Amino acid sequence: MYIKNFISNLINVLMVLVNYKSELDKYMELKVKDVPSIKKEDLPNEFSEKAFKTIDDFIKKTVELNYECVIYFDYITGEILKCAFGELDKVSLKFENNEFRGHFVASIHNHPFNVFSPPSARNFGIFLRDFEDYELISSYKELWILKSKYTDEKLMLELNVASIELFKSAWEQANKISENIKMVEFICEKLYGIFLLKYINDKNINGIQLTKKEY
Amino acid sequence: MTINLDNYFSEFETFKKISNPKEYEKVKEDINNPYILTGIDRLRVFYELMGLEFDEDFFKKAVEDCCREYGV
Repeated sequence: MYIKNFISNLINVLMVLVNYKSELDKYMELKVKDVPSIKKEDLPNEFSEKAFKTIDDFIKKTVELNYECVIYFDYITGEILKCAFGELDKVSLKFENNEFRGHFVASIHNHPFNVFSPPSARNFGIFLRDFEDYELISSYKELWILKSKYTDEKLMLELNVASIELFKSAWEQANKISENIKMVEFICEKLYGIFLLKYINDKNINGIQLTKKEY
Repeated sequence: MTINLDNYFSEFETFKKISNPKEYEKVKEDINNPYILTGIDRLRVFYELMGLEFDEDFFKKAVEDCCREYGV
């Protein structure tokens, strides 16, 4: 029974390694497009030149995707630690406890064109992950950087609710202003981003910050 | 929400741009309903419920700036 369990676990680990390598290979094969991106000085000071290159490549590789992709990387060495692909509005992955031990961990995932650029209700899981210091979100026009040096489940739950309320308010206000769909989308996205920045940064919690950098 | 310390799970899910005309019809109904608070009015009440100070001037300016940026 013990041997059977051991072999079963070994097979599971090997399958994970094979699948992980495939996702990373698929990511590495994505072409780097010639599009606007961020500058090194847009990133937190502790991010290295190599991390900047990793982020810059990610933005340019994923800008035209119509599905989400996420990479976890070391923001000192620039090394990509993990990668996954998802759907238009969702991407997920699993990892083991202490998987990133010894690394300075950040994630970046893209928001495709048909979703809004700012972080949304399910983008605050970083407050549950003690190994992840930064969560970056890239779109075709801007980069959002959420810094969290510690966990806070209560804050995460609050932001889940708050972001939905902020978004609904922005959506409704945009519809009050115009019936032109393009204008409504533009104003909704801008307003929601402003509301979210103010809400999070007004809390003035040490070690937690949200910033936006336009390309 | 519970966290399994042996196996973390990370999921990112996003607000989609709305293309269904019915969603636009629904929001117009809400906006025109005098008994439903919408937009900045909704936001004001949310802030009050959370015990936060609502900066009326800031939010008014935010709306004006967004319109100006679009070109209206």
